[in-house]
Amino acid sequence: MSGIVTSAVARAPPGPAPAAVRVGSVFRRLLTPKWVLLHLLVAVLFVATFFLGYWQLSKAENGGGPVNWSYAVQWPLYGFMGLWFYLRMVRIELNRDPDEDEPGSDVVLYQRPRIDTSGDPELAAYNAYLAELNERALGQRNTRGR
Amino acid sequence: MAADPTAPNRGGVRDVAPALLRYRVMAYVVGVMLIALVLVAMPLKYFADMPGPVAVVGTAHGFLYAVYLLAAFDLALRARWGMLRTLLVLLAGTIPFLSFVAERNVTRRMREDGLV
Repeated sequence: MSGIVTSAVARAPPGPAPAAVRVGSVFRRLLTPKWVLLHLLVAVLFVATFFLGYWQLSKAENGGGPVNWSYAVQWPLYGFMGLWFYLRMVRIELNRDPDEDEPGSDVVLYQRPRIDTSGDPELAAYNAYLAELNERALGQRNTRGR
Repeated sequence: MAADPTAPNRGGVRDVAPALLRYRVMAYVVGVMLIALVLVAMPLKYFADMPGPVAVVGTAHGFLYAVYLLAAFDLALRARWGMLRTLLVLLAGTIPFLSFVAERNVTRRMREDGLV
């Protein structure tokens, strides 16, 4: 319900954005199961890279070759890169247009009803008429361009 | 959705073509190094007792793979891949020969989607 309201407000012509409507809801995007799983995964892997780097460092100090030294540097490097990837994903998710995942983001003036009209020619004809109107309206909208 | 080339440039995260080129270059570099490592350096180390090439190529590959990850992830964000696809392409760089297959696959898909 609130989604529809948000969407309607956000779709208003350019001008001062109705920031108040979006506050709070933006960060809730990061609390979906998928995102929570990612938060945990990133935290665990980030910490793990330091242990792996330390492991290679101790191998290098105990007479390991240059490969161990480079791995000792590379593990934390990969850790920080992963963290940076993650932060970019978070930023994109937060800046994402809220309309993108709303079904109303594509203009649908008429949606084919899930009613069986085979037994009612009058209703079928009416639906066809609505569909034609919708087609025409969308066509005009497209030729006008955005 | 992601295939719509007229989609608005939200947050400046588009510009797929240069990102694809960077990814392709790195995929080739990493792919060639990986094959050199597996088919040349490793046999030298384990059959001819020459550890030098593995030390050099292995280390270089480690750092270049980091650059590959940067390029591939950047492309993934710009082209808006899903998480699974992103992960598979990132990992493809670690498997000999598969990086070439992945690179061709990615390029073809990008062209089909009209992103480049």
